[in-house]
Amino acid sequence: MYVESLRIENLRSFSKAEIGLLHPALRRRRGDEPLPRLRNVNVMLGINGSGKSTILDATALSLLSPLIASSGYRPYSLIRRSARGRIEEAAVKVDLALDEQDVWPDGPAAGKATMRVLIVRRGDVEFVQQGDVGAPQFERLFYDDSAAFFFVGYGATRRVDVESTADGATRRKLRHVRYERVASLFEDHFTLTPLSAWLPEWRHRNRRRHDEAIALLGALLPKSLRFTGRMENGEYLFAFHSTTVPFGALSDGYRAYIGWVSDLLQHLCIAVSREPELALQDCRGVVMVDEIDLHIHPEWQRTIIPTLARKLPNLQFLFTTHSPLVVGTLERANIHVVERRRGFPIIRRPDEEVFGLSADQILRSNLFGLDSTRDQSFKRKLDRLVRDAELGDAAAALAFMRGASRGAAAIVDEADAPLEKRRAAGKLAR
Amino acid sequence: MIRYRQATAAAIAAAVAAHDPTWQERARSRTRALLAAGRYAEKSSIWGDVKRVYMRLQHFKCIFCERSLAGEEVGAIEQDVEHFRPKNAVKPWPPSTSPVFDLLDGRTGGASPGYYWLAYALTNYSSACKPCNTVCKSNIFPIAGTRGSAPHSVATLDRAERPFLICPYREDPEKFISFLGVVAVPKQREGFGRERALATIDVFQLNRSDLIADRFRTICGLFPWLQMRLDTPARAATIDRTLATLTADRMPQAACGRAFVKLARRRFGLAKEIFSDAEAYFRVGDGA
Repeated sequence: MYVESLRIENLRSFSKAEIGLLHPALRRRRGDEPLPRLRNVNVMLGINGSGKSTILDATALSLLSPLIASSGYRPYSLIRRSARGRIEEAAVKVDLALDEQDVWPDGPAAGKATMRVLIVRRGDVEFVQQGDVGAPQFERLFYDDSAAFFFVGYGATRRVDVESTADGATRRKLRHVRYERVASLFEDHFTLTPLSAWLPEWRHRNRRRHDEAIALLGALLPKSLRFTGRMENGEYLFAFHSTTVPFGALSDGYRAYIGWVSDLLQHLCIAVSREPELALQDCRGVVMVDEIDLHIHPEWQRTIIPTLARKLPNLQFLFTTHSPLVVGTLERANIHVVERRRGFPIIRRPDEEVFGLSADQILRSNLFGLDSTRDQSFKRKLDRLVRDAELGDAAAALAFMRGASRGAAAIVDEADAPLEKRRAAGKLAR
Repeated sequence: MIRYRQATAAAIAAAVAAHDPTWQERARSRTRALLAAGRYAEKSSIWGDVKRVYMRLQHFKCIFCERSLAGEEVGAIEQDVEHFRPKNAVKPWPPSTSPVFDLLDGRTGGASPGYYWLAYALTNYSSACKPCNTVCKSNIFPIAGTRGSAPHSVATLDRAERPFLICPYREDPEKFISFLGVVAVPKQREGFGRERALATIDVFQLNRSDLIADRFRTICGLFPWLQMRLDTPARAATIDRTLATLTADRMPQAACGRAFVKLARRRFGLAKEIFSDAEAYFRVGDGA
């Protein structure tokens, strides 16, 4: 299953918005625009509070809609608040492209389908109304270990449960597995299952999936890190440069990434457990990750999306990001900008091509719209130095050049240096 | 600002006549019509026809910021014909946010209906880049004297009005503006000359980031020659000829380049420090 398009009404800050998405099965785009290099990647940009994450939430809610009442999800403040009176309902509609993975072999044919979710208000309580439960096309959605309708989502507060208290059975009592797969989008305290809590069991449960998961995790890691597959004191070991480090001792960036990637692998293993002909990386479905660049070093930001997109070519990705480096690895077709116009978020495509631009150029393009990428107080400091230089302070001119070329650290001393030092520098310049 | 030694009024007139023999006659008749109307209200103009003459005279550089602009074939699109004295209403300057506001104390001539009778005066034109002409200068023309009126000529007005903005046609900008490294600074320590430099630097934002980058580039090109000159004194004469070429009027940021060569002769250590800034600017800086 892939999401072809999404329509949002009165959800959170959105009044009305529509978005068309790329997915691996797409053969041509509207208006015959060329397909980008990464056909399975969609990225939302926008300032904080613009509504980027709402697009992921809306997608998850509508995909859950047929079983949402029994999923463990509780709606909170979904309906848009308006100064002009109460709004009584919000709605999301997704158009889907289904494939043979989603339907029974002898059931209704795969094809296009639509899911709708309606949120209504009664007093102070919001209710999510059950979506279309009767559609025969959706039958396989109601089975847990099925590859049908595979979708996962990771919110910006995603973290791994290091204590590892939550065994599978306890987790299932709280949330249905399909909701659990997207719960971190909605719940700040939700924790992901650590690798060490599920992968060892798969060695016996299904050796092939176990080995596939290890190989795939290895392929998805950055060059600096290698997955050994070995354990020590209940934690998996990773080779980092010349040492081996247990998962819990890795840096935040690695843990944040491995956390959601291994959770994805776990759910892929569950999903394809009855599909022996399907390799793990061939599973189709939808993966949503809020703030993909979270804790990630710039060097790695430049490869993270291309790596994920190429190693998992049959998954459709929806990302949000604030990183110009991430944006530089994409093309215009991959990008949606969420911005406010007359108080409401709107979704637009970038006006210009971005692939190959430097981070600086992207920050100053209208995707991010900064006039200068320098820190604002540092820029003010530089401006003040120029002004002092114009008014005759030669030391300020030297400090300006040092700062403009070497950044903030270089001028902190000079601009705040004692007067005699500045005088000496000034004399030198004359 | 570019040094414009050969561009006398006579030389400009001759170049225009060679480029378009009918232009000056057309300009005269249009000027008569403007004087009769007492304001500028034309639907179409003819100065675009002579833009190329100015582009060539200025070595395809912006008259104000000395950046290299596009050449003969396609350059007309990025260069504006700049009316030094605005043909339309003159806006007051400086705004209260300008750092020179207090310094000049409001003695800058205020607003005026504009110099409509100079719309076709050859010595009131130049070719400027859009950032300098449209964004920076726009319709301002601050003066320290009394605002003149029709039909006075540019030469008469210059004497009575005492403009703040330095006009590269009639005076050598390097008498007023110098460069310490890449930073444009007033050359004169006090008086009207200093105020003119400050006003000109402020109006055209001569220390804006694109120009800083351009000047750092110039310094990167010059310093290795200066180092070589110091290391191999026997080759000094040859290297001086190269340096003269690299800082000739046709080069971008030539005034900054000339100031840098001069600085290196007196204070090589300081020039070396500035070169290391220039090099770091392109290595680690973001050019913003």
